[in-house]
Amino acid sequence: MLLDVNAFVGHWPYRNLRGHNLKELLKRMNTYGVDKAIVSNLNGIFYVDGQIANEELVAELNSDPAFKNRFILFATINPVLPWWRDALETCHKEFGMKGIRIFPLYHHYKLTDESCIELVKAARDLGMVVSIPLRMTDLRERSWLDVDKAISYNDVAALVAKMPDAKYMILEARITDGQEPTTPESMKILKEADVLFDTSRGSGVVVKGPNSESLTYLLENFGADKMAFGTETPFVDYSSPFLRLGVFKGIDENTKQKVWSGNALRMLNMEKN
Amino acid sequence: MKNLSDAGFNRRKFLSTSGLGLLGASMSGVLCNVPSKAEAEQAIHTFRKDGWKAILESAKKYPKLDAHNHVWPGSNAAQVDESCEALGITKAACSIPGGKTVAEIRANNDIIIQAMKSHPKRILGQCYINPLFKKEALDEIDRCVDHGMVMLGELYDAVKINDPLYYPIVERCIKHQIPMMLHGVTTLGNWRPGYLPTNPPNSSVPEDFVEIANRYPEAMIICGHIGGGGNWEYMCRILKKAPTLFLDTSGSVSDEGMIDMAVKYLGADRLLFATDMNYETGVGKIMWADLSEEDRKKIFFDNFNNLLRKAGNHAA
Repeated sequence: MLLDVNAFVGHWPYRNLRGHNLKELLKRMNTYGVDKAIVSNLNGIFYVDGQIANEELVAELNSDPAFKNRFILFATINPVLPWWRDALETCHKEFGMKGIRIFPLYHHYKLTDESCIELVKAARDLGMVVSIPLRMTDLRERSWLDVDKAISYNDVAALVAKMPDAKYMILEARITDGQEPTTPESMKILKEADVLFDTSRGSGVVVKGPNSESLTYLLENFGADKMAFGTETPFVDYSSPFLRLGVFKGIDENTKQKVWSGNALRMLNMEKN
Repeated sequence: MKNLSDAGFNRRKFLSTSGLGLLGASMSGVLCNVPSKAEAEQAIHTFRKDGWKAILESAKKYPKLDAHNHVWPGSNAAQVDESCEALGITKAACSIPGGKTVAEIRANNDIIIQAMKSHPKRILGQCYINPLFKKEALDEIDRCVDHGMVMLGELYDAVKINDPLYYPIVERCIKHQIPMMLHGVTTLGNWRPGYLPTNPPNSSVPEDFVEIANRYPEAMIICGHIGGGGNWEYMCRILKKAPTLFLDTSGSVSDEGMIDMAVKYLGADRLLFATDMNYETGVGKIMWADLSEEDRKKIFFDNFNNLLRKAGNHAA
C-alpha cells in the first residue's frame, strides 16, 4: 500500500501549477499506484480566513464519490485568527479531518508562540496530527513576494519540547543550503518524539552534495520508523519521489513498506485498507 | 478502487494509462498513443497497483548521457558509477570545478582523468579552467583533450562567460570541436538589484550566455542546470534569443512544468539531460514532462551525443 503524506490542491500565487485539484491528483495516484494521499488546500495559506479553504476542500471531496476513500483531509489552521478553535473543531467533528497543517512563516508567528502551542495542544487532544512543511518551494527560486527563509529542525524541536506528546509530520524534510545546523539537543528531542519525516527531498542513491542529501541521513539519524513517503505534488514532478524511494537500498523491502505507508497509517490510527 | 488486472484492459488502454503512455493528464501523445477523451476519463477510476515500478523500469531502459555531473568527496567515482547504474544512466560527464591556483586546478583535473581510467565505461571527463590564468588555461584545455576529456565544465564564476577573457577559451573549444558548459544562475538577487545575491556577482545570467553565443554561433555552449535553483522561467524566456545555445536539465529543482516550458521556448533539440548529482530528479523530470517519445530520446541521449560526435567522442 502507498500513502502520500505530502500533497496539496489549490492555487499558488507565484507560478502556475498543474494537477492541483482532486480529480487530477487522483489520476496521478491511480497511474502510479498510490492508494491514499493526505491533502490540504493551498488557498488556506493565503486567505485571511483559512477556514474558507477548508470548506472548499470538503466541497471538492464531496463532489465525486471516487474521492471518498482516497483522500485524507488535513485542515489549514492559523492560530493567529481569533476563531481558530471553532475552525479546528468544525474540521475535526464535521469534516472528519485527521490532522492540521500549519504555516508559521506565511502566517507570521513563531512555532513557540503561545497561540501555536495552544493549537498543537488542542490538535493533540482531538487526536489530530500536526503537519509542518519546512518550506513550500526552493528559496533560491522564490518570488520577491514570497517568504525568504525556511523552518529549521531546531524550530520544530523547540515546539516539540513544549508539546512532546503530540504527533508530528515534518514535510520537505531535508537539510537545505545555508540552514542552521541542527543542535544535538534538537536531535535528541526529535528522536524521542512521535515524528515522521517525509521522503520528498532525499536522494535514494548515495550522494551528498550542496543540494543533494541522501535518505540515508534520515535513516541514520531517525530510523526507518520515522520516515514516510511524500511527493510534494503538485509543486514538483510526480515521478521523482517514487524513483527516490524505489532505488533506496538502505532498508529491505519489508521495512520499506513502513515508509511507503505503514508508519503514516500507524500515526493516523488507520487500518491498511 | 479497481485494479488494472481486473479492469479488462487491452494493450492500447494499458499504454494510455501506464507510465509508458500516460503520466497523469500531461503525457498524452507518448508512443503515438493519444488516449481518447473517454479513455482519459476512465483513467481516473482505474488503479494500477505498483504502477510506479513499471515507470521506474521504463525510465531505466532509456539510454542516457549525463551532460553535467561531478566527482568529489560526497560522490566519488565509484558512487557516481553506482548511482548511474541505479537509474540507467549510460555515461556521465564529470568535473571538479574550482581551484585557486593553476596547480590546484590541474590536480583536480587529474582526479577526473583518474576517474575516467577507473570507470572508462561510465565517466567522461570535463576539463575545468579559470580564464584569469590566460595562457595556463589554454594549455590546460590542450592537456585535458590529449587525455581524452570531451568538453569543458563546469566552468564557474571567476568571470562572466561574456567577458573578453573567455574569447580565447571559446575559440580553443571551437578548434577542438568540443562543447563547454558553465554554471548559469537566475537566483533573484543575481538579476534584481536590492535582493541579496546567493551566487557570486561574477556568476553568469542568461543574458551573458546569449551574448557569447551570438558572438560565437559555431561554438557549442551549454548553460548549466535549468533546475539549479533560480527562476527557470527567466532562463527559458532569455536563452531562446540565442538559437545555438544549449541548456542542461540538471539541478535539484524538478518543478512541475519546468521542462515543458523549456521545450516550448527552446525546443527539445537544445535540451541536454543532466543530473548535477541529482539522479532521481534528473531522470524523473524528463519522464514526467509532456514529451513525445522522440523528444524524450533526444533529450536523454541523442542531443548531447551529437555534440560529442563533432570531435569523435560520441557514445556508440
